[in-house]
Amino acid sequence: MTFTAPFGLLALLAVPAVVALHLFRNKLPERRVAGLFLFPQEALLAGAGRTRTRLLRTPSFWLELLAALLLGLWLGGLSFGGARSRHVVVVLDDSASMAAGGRDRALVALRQRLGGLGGGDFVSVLRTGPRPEVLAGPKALPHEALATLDGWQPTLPRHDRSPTLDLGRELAVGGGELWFLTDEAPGPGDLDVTWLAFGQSAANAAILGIVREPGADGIERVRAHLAAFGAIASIELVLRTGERELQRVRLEFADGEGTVVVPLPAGVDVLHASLSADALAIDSAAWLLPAPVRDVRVCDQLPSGAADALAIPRLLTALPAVRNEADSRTAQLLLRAMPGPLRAGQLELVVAGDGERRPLAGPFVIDRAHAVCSGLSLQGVVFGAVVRDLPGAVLVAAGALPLCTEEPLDEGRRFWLALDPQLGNFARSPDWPVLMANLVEQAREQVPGPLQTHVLVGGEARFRRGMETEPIDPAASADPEHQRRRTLWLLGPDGVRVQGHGDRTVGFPVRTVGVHTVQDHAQRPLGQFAARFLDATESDLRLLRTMERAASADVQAARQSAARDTGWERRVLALLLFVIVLLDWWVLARRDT
Amino acid sequence: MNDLALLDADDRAALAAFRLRLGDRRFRGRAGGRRGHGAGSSLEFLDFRDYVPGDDLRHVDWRGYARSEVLRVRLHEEEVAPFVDLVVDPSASMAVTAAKARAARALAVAFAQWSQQEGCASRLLQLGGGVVGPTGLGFDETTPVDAPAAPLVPLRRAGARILLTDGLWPGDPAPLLHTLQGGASRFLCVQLLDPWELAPPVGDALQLVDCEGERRLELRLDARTVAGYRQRLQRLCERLRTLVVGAGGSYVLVEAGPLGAMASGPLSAALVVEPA
Repeated sequence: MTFTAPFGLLALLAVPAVVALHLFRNKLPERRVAGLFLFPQEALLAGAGRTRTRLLRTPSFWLELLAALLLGLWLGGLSFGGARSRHVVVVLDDSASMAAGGRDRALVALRQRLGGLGGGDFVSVLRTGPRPEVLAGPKALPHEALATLDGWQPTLPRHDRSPTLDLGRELAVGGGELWFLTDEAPGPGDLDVTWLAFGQSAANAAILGIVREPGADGIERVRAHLAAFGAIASIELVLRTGERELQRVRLEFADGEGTVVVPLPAGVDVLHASLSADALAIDSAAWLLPAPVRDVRVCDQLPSGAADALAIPRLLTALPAVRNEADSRTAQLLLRAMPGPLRAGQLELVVAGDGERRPLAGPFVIDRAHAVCSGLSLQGVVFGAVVRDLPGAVLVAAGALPLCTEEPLDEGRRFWLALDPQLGNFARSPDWPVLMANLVEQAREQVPGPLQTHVLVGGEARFRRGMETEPIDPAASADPEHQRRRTLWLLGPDGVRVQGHGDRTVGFPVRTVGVHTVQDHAQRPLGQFAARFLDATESDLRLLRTMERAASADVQAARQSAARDTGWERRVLALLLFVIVLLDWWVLARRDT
Repeated sequence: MNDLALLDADDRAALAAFRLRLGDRRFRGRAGGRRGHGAGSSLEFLDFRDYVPGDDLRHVDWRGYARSEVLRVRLHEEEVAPFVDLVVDPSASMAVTAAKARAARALAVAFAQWSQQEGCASRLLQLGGGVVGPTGLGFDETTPVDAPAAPLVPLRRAGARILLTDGLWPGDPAPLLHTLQGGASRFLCVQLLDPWELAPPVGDALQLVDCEGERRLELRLDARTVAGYRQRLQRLCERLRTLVVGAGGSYVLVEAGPLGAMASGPLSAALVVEPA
C-alpha cells in the first residue's frame, strides 16, 4: 500500500479531532423526566466548570471517526500495490544490424523484463521503420506482447527512429515507460527513453552492388561490388541457380572494397549470389532475375498511305521490344487517323490529316519538359502542318498553330498530331522516330508486370496490372467480389503473403530479402521480384554497443507519480465517505427527533 | 365548559363502556342508593330496637308485640350517595409527556363521571391544593418537594377516595397516604406512569432534565443504567403498593394510554371498573 500524496495524510489529524470533539461535546438531546432521582448518578457531565466528558461510543462517533479516517486516506491518495498498473512501451529497432545477434540478446532481455510485470500491467510494442508499426497493443497484456516478439526479424536499412519514438511517447502518456531496444549507443537527446543497446562490434562483409550484364559477346556476366567492414582480408562469393552451384570466387579486399565479374552460362533463370558466413547475413545474399520481357503492343490503324508515309512498319521493327498488335483492346499504343475508344492505360496517337495544309519551316515551340517531347529538336524540319484546332495541352506549336497536343481523358491518354505525312519532311527527319520512341516508352509503362524486378528491402515493389483486369463497367468496380478478384498478393520467400495496394499500379512493401512472387486471387503467379538488402551504414557493425541508460530521474519521478492509477481506490473511498456522511446525518437527525 | 369536552370521541366511548366499582363497603353520604353505615329508610331490614317515644309508629313490630307484649321498632338500612374525593397529583411530572398528561386528564374526568353515574357526590382535589374542576387541572406544579402534601381541604369521612398520581417522589409517601387513607371507606391509589418511564430504551445518550426543577443529568442509557433505573422504579412502586394495600386500600399501576386501554386493562384487572 502506498500513498501518492503523503501530505494529504495530515488530514488524518481529523481523527483525534473527532475524538476531542466528542470528549468535549456539550450538547446531548434533552429529555424531560419525572423521576430523575431514579437514574444512577454516574453523570457523564460531571458538573459546572468541567467540559470534558466520558467518551460516548455512539454510532455517530464511530461514523464520524470512520469518515475522518477515509478523508485522510482519500487525500493521501491511497494506492494498493496491486492496483498500480505499469504501461511499458517497447520500441524495437528494426534496422538490419540488429540481426547480427542484437535481436536475440534483446529478446532474451526483453522476455526477462516483461516476465517481471504483473497481470495488471500493459505493454505496447512498436517497430521502427519509415512508418511506425504497432506489433502489440496499444496496451496489450504482457503475454500477448511476448507472443508477437518471435515474428520480429529486423531487416530495414538505416532509417529515422524519431517518428516511432514520438509515437511511443504518445502511447506512454500518463506514466508509461518508454524502452528502446537497439544496438547503438544513444545520442545526447532522448533522455526520457530507457535506452537498451544489445549490439556487439563485429567485422562484416556485404554485397553493395550486384547486376547481370549482357555482354557484347553474347555472354551474360555478373558484376558484384563487395565491401568489408572490419578485419576481413578476403571473402568467397558463391553463385547458384536453384540447387546448382555455378561458380565460387574468392575476393581479396583492397582498401576494404573489391569488384568481381563472373561470366554466366546461358539459360540461367534466378541467380543467387551469397558470401561466406559473417556477422550479418542479410547483406551477404542477393537474387538476380533475368531481365523481364516488357514488349509494347502497337496497333496501327492508320490509313495505309499515311502509315507508309510515316514508315510505321519499319519503325515498329526498329524500336526495341515492340510488337505489332491487331487487337486494339489489348494494345498499349494505338495509331489512328480519327480518335477512337480507349481503355484505361492505353495511349493513342491521332494523326489528324483533315484540314488546310501548310508547310511550316519553323520556328517551332516545344514543351521539352514533357516526356513525349524529350529529344525533339525539329531542326531543319519542314512540318506539313494541318491547320485546325487541336484539343488539349500544346506540346509543339508553330506560332499560334498547335502541331502536337495531349488531350486529357478519363481513360487512357490521347496525343494529337496535326500532320500531313506526305507534306514536308517531318516523317523523314530524325525527330519522327524520336517522337515515336518516346510514345512507345510512355506506353511501355502500361505493360503488365513488375515495373522493376529488383527492389531493395524497405522499399516498395510495384506491379502493373493488366488491362484485361480493368472493369468495363465502372460501377462494377465497387462490387466486393470484383474487388476480391482484382486483389493481388505478394508471396515472400518466408511464405508470408502481403496484400497489394493501388489501382493500376499495385505496390507491395518489401521487408524480407529473396524472391517474391506476385499472385492473383487464385494464387496464380503473375510476376517476380528479387529483393535484397543494401545499406553500407547498416552493414558496418564496428560501432555497435551493448549498454543501458535509464531514463532521466526527473522523467522517472514524473512517470512514477502519474503511473499510479489510484482512480478506483479514490472512487471507492469517496463513495464510502459519502455513504458514511449520509448515514451520520441520518443517525443524528433520527436522534434529534 | 362541559367536562366531557376534555375527552376525545374514543375516550368518551370508553367512558360510557365502563362503570366504577365501589364494592359493598358502607359509606357515608347524602341519601342515595348505596348502603350506609346507619339505619335508614330503605326496604332492606337491618335490626330491631326497643321503642322509644317519638318513634314512628309505622315501624313498630306489631306482630312481635302480640307475641311478647314488648314494643320494638324495625330498623331498615340506610341508603346513601357516597362521597368520592378524587385527589389528583398536580405536579408537572404528571404532564412530563403529552401521552401522560392526556391520560391523567382523561382518568380524572373519567373517575369524576363514573362517580356521578354511581350516584356519588364527587369532587376533585389537588394534592397540596383545594377543590378544582376538571378543567382547572394544570399539572404545572414545578416546586420540587420530597413528597406532596395532602389537600388543603378536609376530606370527607367514610367516603371513597381515589388518588391519581405517578408517585415519583424521592421522599417517603407514607405520611401522605396515611392522611389520605384515614377515615376513608375505600381508598384507591392509581399510579400513572408513561411507557418511557416504565421501560426507557437502551442505547440513547440523553441529557435528562428534571421536569420539576432545573436539574440536569447527562446519561448514556446503556443496559446497566436502564436496569438500575428499572430496579429503583420497581422498589418505589412496590413501596407505594405495600403502603396502600397494607392500609386496606387498592393499588393499581397504569401505563399511560388511551382511556379504553387503561380501563379495560389494569383498571378492570384491579376491579376498579367493570363493563357498564
